Amino acid sequence: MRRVAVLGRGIAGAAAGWAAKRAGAAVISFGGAPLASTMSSGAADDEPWELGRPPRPLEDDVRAFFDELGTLTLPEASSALVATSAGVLRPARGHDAFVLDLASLGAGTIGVPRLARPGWDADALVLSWNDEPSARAQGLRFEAIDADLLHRTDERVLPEVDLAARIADPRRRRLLDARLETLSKSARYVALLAPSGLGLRDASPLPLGEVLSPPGGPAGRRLGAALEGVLPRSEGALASLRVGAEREERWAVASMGSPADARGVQVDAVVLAVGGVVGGGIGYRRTDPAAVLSPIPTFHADVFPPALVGLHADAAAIELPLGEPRWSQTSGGPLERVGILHADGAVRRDDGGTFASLFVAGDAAAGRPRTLIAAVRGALHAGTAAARNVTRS
Amino acid sequence: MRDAGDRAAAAVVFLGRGGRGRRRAAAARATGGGAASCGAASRRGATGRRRATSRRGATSRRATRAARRGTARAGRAARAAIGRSLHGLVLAGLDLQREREAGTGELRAVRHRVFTRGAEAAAVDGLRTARVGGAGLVDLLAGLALGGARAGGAEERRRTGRRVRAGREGLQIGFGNADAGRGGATRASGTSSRAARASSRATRTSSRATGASSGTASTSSGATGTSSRAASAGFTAGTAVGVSDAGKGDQRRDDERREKGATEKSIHTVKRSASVPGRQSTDAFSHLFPGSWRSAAGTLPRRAARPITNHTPRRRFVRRGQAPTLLAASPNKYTSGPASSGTPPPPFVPDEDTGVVDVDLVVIGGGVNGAGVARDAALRGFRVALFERNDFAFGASGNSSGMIHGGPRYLTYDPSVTLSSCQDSGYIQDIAPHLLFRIPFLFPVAKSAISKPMLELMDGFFEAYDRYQPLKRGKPHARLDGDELHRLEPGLVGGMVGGMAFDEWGIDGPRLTIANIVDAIEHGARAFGHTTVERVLRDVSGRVLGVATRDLLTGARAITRAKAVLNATGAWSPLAATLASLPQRAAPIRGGKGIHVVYDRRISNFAVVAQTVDGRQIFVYPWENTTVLGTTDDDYYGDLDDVNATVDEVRYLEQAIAHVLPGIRDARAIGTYAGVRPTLYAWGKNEDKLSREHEVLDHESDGARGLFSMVGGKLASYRVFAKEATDAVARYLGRNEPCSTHTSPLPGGEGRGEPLALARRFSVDAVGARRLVYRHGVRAEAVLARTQRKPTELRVVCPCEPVIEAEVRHVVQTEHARTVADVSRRTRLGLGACGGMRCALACGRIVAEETGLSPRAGRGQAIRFLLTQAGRRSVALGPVQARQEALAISSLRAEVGLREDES
Repeated sequence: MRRVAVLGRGIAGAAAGWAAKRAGAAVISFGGAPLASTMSSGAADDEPWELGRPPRPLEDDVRAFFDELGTLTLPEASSALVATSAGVLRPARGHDAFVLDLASLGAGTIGVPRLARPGWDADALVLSWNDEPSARAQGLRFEAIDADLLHRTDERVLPEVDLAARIADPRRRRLLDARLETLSKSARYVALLAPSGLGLRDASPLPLGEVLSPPGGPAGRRLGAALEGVLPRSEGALASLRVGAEREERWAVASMGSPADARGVQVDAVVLAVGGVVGGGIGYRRTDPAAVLSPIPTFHADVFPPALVGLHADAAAIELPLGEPRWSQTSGGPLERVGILHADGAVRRDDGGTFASLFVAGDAAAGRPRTLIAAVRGALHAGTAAARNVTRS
Repeated sequence: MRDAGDRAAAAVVFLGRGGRGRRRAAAARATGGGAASCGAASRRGATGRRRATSRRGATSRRATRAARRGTARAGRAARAAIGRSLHGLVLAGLDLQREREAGTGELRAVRHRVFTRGAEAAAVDGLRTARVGGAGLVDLLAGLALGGARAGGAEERRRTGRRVRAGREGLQIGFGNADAGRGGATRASGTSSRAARASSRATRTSSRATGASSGTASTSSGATGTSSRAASAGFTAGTAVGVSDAGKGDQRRDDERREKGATEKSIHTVKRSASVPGRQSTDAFSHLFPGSWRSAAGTLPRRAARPITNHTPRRRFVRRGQAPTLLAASPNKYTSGPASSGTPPPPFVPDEDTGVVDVDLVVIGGGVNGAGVARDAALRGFRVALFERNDFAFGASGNSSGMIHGGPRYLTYDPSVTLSSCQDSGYIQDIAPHLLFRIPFLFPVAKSAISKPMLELMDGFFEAYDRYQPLKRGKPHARLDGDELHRLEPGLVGGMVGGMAFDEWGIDGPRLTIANIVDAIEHGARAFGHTTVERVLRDVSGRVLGVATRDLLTGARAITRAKAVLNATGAWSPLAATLASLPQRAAPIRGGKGIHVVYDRRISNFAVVAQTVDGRQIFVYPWENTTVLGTTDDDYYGDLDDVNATVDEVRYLEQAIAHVLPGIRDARAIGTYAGVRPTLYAWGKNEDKLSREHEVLDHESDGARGLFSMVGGKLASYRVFAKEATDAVARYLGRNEPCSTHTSPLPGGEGRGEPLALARRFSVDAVGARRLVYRHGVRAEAVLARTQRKPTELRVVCPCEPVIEAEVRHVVQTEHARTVADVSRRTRLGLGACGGMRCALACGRIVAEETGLSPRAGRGQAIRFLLTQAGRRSVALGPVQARQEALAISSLRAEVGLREDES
């Protein structure tokens, strides 16, 4: 049985590990809690939504993985339409179950309660949403209404995540349902659109959905919790990762326990899924931190070897073969440029070839749109390849 | 030491007691001979036996004789010719007169006088009692540029082979007469020694001591042709000639010098033997590549290739204080008689048929100079219209270091700039007290072989600068020892032996500009932002008729008829000249790009001065609620509407400051900004050494009557520059109302704001009220009064600064903000730690509402602002910040998308 080490437990790591497991490998998963994935807004994109491309049908394994997660709803062949607290209506390939999908509502008036939540100016938002072409095209109209859905004054200032937790409490939920019941009597509204944290998953007499979450909001938390359950966490923390001999690709993962008594574990393949955003999950620094001339790494900067690639800040570092996986810019926006160069998930060597058993997935990979579904698709591919040790070179 | 003469270069003499001086000289020799000694003497031991050093080579012997002659003329005033020599004339400098004890000849006091042009106009006359230190270096103050003290002196010496390199900031010192005592008796007893000491006064100050008047201890350079970059002493009889910067030693400068009339004999063509790293080495070749090769961003000249040749014809120009011969305005059909200053300006009435507006003066450019002129002219009762292509304070005015400093760095070579800066700093404090804040400076000196004399020199230098401080309510400098230094600024590292503390004033450049604009408007002027001048209209005789303009946001075109047009476009000046069909060289500037890096909070107590790898002076300073690191000075040939800092420039600054303040590497950079200084054009000089002086050009000589240009200048002296320009225009218009810009307060400066009282009264955050009062002075009350009419305007839009909604609406309604970026420039919204991620969208919504745009258009503005800021930040981000940045951008993308084209 091949052993595959997956570094990173975000959505790319989870997908890669899940795929490798499905392909029959033994998976060792390293990393802390999902980081960047918990910053998800609750919208799942395939391609950047601003491009306005029509949605593609999803592959079976992608859909199967999202089913495994269970927090995101992905319409079959159409786009969802979600609202953001910046006054935008945007298409999304999939969305968090608590986020209101406007596309599914058809024409009608949507009530926007005036609430004393931070950043929630119902009147301004209504003005902005009504100005959106997609709303007009669908026959949607937004209307600010006076409906105090907040129960206590502290709910005005609770962070979104805490508000969501409070709403999840059955007693509080009953109160909210009662209010919605009253509101639904007027029957003028097809749904209510609420600030993040106040949405409900199940349809009540009057659907109450959220706008997209801010970073670290409830949608991201829900995704993070779901990701934690996909793969069992390996005991101990990753201490370091070494190549056995140059070009010989025997990977040893020193791990299991504190760095002091780390034991080396031989694995057959490694998937790097510690990208976060913009290589953000990958901390890189010079080996000599005291070097006065150390470069200030930037989006555009190549990282000169020797470099350390850390899992988080400085905690666990992976020593990469120096200069081999090049960190470089390719085309694309600032978010897309930085990352590990790869060919179809396999990390590229300096000479243009690829490693046979070193893979990269998620946002660590350079030159790929930083979208959730694209990350999953790539990670599933890399995980499967790592398990089977077949790459197209 | 004695055989030093074979590579003798110039009047570099080491003063030493006993063996120390010898060791120094030997050390200097060993390091390359750049500052080889001649005429050196040492007093040996207690016997005081003098020993004239013997030298090989006729040159050196001549030097010694010259030095002796110098002593014979004891008591003569020593003139330090500082600064640029132009055709053999000394423009400015310091006059030194030493007073000595009668009996002993010991130095008791030094009288110095800053003079300009021919030593007649004594600008500041000061007497100071010299501290006669053991080293006897006191009277060398003139030799010390601010750049003189160097933290890495030893290192520099190793690199350049200079013994004492008193700063590259322009040290063109020649002592006219290195006198040493009065009495003949003293001379008899120790001529050589004294000669040596006298010469050393001249030369310790600068290894490239240059220029000396006749009969002094100057020598021409050695015959050996070794790397004697120390100095080529150009002298003409009776006149001290400051020869520029022999230390740079490239052929070009030598040529320049030759042109300047220094005698051929005195010029030693210096060949660079050791390449100096950094910009200096590239400078040596820059004359071969006049194009854009040096612009770090690699931007090609898109519109303005360097238009100016070395053969720019001399033009008549209005220099300060000189009555221009050609400015006597003859009556013409647009010239009205002088109006009395008391009458209010006639209203702007568009011609009923054509919609054309008539004014006296059109100002092109809404930087601080243009705004200053608009205000000055409006206060004098002129009808003024001002057009700005971007936003007000878009260019250098809004991207400066943000200081109304007294210009100590100009003290040694351009003291008139120091004087005018200090004087105007005082005026600005009178008219806009709310906008200024004190920035204490710390100038640390690292331990090195020369640190002690360096401290002495700095002490002297700052004592000279202290003379100017009262003009701007500055405090006298303080000399600190190493312990005090570390107590005051614990983040400092390195073996600091001491340093100097002095103070300067910080200011918000955009606020200052806007205040001028608002005041101009309140006095009847009109100001149009985002409105470009498409043409300056002229009649067949060449006289200006007015301007044709286009609003860049709405596309609306208009014609404004004017009697005079003033080009106050700063770095855009050559381009603006072409609008009047003049060649670009009619209004030449040499654009110098400067960048700054902003950190999220105040990370030091003091502004700390440090030195870069190429020996430039930079500083990190607490500014408002941030820390700013700056600055660079590089020729710029790129797009002036899109000037950005580069990674290289940021590293260059950060690396330099990390030598003394390593904490900077852990600080969080939240942005960079860049601007292009419109420095006076000069060929061949290093960017740092370009004059910060200013000139008003009358383009009558170019055939364009009624067209004027302002070139050069700096933020600190904007007011006096504006006055001079307005004077020139007034003369042309035949008007004679006096200038009152130094007495009439700027908007908000009419009284003292009371932040705490306001905070209580309007129940706003005290910090917010304080910041509001800083920006708006007493008018903060008017901003807050809005919230009583509409309480929702108390909402905080930008939590970092903080900025409330009322202020955003206020600046849109009264300060001509038309976009999110405009609001940011006026309120610092979005310039804090969050980079606008939390406020730009809200601001866009408000701006759209106020200006009648759709919410989507406001959002488009916000996105544009955010992406611009992100791009400016990206060059300064560390790894952790890159992560935060990525998160922020991805969340922004999730919420609004990153498409700018929404409108």
